[in-house]
Amino acid sequence: MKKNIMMSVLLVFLLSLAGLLFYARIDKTVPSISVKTEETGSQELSEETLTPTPSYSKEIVEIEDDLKMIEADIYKVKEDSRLNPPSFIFTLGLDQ
Amino acid sequence: MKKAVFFFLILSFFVFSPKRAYAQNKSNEFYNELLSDYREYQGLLEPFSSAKSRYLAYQSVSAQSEFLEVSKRLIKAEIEAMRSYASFVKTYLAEATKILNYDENYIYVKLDDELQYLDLARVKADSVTTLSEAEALLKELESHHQRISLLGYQTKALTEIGSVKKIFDNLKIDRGKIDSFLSSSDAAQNKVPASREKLSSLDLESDKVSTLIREAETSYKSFAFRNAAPKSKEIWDTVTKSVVAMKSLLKGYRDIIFNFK
Repeated sequence: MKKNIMMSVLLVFLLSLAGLLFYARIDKTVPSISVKTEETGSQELSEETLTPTPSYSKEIVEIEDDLKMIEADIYKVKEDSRLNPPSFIFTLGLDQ
Repeated sequence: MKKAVFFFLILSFFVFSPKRAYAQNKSNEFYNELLSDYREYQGLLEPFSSAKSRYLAYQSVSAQSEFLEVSKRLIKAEIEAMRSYASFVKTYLAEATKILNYDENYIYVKLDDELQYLDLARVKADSVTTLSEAEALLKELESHHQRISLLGYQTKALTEIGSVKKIFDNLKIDRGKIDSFLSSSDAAQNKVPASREKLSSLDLESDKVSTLIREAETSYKSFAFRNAAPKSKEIWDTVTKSVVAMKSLLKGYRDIIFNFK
């Protein structure tokens, strides 16, 4: 009896695991076990309620983003010493 | 029941194994292989020296046969480590090519040739029966090691130059964007002249980067067996200088943009 219960628990676990893997591979969206919460609709704020914030031109924002990415690339340039070849001995040393 | 638990454990191992969860870079795998092969080679150096000393001291048949066996083991370990290094360089180049979009097929083809030779060298090492054959094989391996090392240094230089070239191309695009922004009506007109002046002074820095990249490319063309290591260092130094210049370009462009915020 005890053996049967253990086997059933194991089977259920394996089936749920297989299900999760199936979703992860096919759908890339693993079903969530978290409680669903109502999404609060993004309320549009009126012009008056907004505090005046500086608005930059689209070009400025684009250039700034580009420069951020370039900066990240610059910091990635590092010497990869792993490519330096290892040294070996190429003689039995019997000539001396 | 025991079988079921065992099956479950095996299944869990495959499902949750870190290798599956985080696919590693292929070149990293080859590098780890190189480290382990090289460690094995280093571990054989001490027995090789001892066997050599015994052979030189006694000149006996048994000392000779022991020295031959240890030498063969060392040669085989050397071949394996050289093989791992060549495979590492090959995959590294393949990965860099994917990122940097440039073709350097000849290095790839040459590395394939060297890997083929090393396969052959494995067989040769097995058939070594005398110390003079072992010495001859070592000489042969030395010339191939030079070739493989050159390809490794070239790959290193190529990826370094490729990286800075790509970054510099992107910087040039942004210089163009800043230029057209300054010509547009969006730019506060009172700030434009100073920004243009700054942009012109930055163009001098940009010329410096161009010159440094050209210098690195010229150095790359003169790579040879004998100068591979110093040439690689020379190229890295030039690349570093270009990176410093590009950082100051970036700072300058940011300064101009900040002015209009």
